Parts: sequence; structure tokens; C-alpha cells
Amino acid sequence: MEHEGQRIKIPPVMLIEVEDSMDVMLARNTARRAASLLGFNTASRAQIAGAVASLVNIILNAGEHQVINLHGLRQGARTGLQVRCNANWLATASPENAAVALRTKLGSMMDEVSLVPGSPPSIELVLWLTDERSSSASRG
Amino acid sequence: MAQQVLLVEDSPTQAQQIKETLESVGLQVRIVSDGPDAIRVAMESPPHLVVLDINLPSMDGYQVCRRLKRNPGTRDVPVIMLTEFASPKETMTGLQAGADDYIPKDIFAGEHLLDSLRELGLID
Repeated sequence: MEHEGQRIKIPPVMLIEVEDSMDVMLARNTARRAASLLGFNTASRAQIAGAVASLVNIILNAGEHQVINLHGLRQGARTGLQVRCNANWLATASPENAAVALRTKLGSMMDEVSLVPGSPPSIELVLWLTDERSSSASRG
Repeated sequence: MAQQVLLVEDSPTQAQQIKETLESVGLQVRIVSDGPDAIRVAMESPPHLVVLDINLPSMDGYQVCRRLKRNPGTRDVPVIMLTEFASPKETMTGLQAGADDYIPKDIFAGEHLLDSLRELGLID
């Protein structure tokens, strides 16, 4: 099914400052809370938290300090959670190779894994809220 | 009647801590310390929830979860994995095994466990 229309940022909007390995736990916690507020079920919250923890480790392994932005996303009738951060360390990398590496690491957990060109480039992850992933569906 | 939880944890210290958290919200907890025992107990008398460690003697938590989710008598019992193995790959392995939640044992574990119990309708 094609999803058309502009993507609109919606609440919740949360920020995670990544500076050291302690931030992995905080990031996981923030991601779970954001996913919960958007209506993701427990398994999807764990999945998003895993993806964000992985992104934090990628940032730390690159020796960077970065801010990860989490926010809701609306496109037409569908809602999702977007995770975004600048990726200064990928500025000189081959965009194709970097995108493949990111998808290899994060693609099993998120619907969309993109490296958005720019100065600096940014990493964007999206998980869409489907019936299967909805907390209202899991409550039956 | 209190909701029954089967807690599968081989560390007595951790089992006691988790048991106290679960009992604090009115749940009744039975502890077993290995995978085969967990499967036997769950099949004999399906609990309302299984809280499952990954690192267990003789059979790991992923295998236990797959067995429970394949068995018609236990497939609808929610399983929460509560574990020290927190990598994304391990998280996905747990979720693909059928876990309803996957909670790393970190400083937020208690909070996430209660949040998950609420979501699963086991507590108010």
C-alpha cells in the first residue's frame, strides 16, 4: 500500500543527549516512554528501545557526542515514531556504503533506516504503528 | 484470586528481588530455576504470566519461550524476558521467540516491568 502526503512531526518530542555509555540506559528508557505515548505495544517498545540503544552505541563508537531526537510522525492516516540524529562522522564516508551498514545494523528493528544527505548527513529511523504493534490491539 | 506469575530465574538473589517487585503489586509468584522445570510447571498449570531470564542452566530462555509459544496450552500466556543480555540482536531474538516484552536488567527494569504488567492487563 502506498502512503502519500507530507510527513508531519507530532508529539511527543523527546531529546536524548549521548555523551557516554551510561546514556544507553537513559536512551532506552526515553525511547520506551515515547513509544508508549504513541500507543506501541510492549514488544514494539522493546524493539524501538533496542534500535535506539544500537544508535547510541554507533555514536559512542564513533567517538561523538550527539543529540538524538525522537518524535511522533503522521503521514495521512498512519502514525509512527521517528528517531533522528546528525552523523558528522559519516560526512566523508560513501553514502551508499554507510546506508548499507546502517541497514545491516538497524534494519531488522525499524521499518525505515535512512542516511539523509546534508552537512552533516543525518540518520533517520522510523517505525510505523500498525494494528499488530498497537497497545490497544494487544489488550484485545 | 491473585494472578499467578511463574518466575524463571536461576540467581536466588535476583529471583528474590523480582519476586518482591511482583508481590508488591499483588501478584502471586512461583519461582523455578531452570528451563525444563519452567516448561513442565507452565504446562501443568498455566500461569497468567511468565517472567523469564535468558541465561538458564540446560536450556536458555529463548528456547523456553519458543516451547511455551508453540504449545496450545501455554501459547496465550504472556512472556516477559528480563535479562542481562541487552544487545539489539538479543532483543530481536527474544521478540522473535514470541516474548511480549524484553526488558534489560538495568536501573529502569522495575519501572519497565510494572509498566509492562499494566499494559498486559495484569495490574491496574
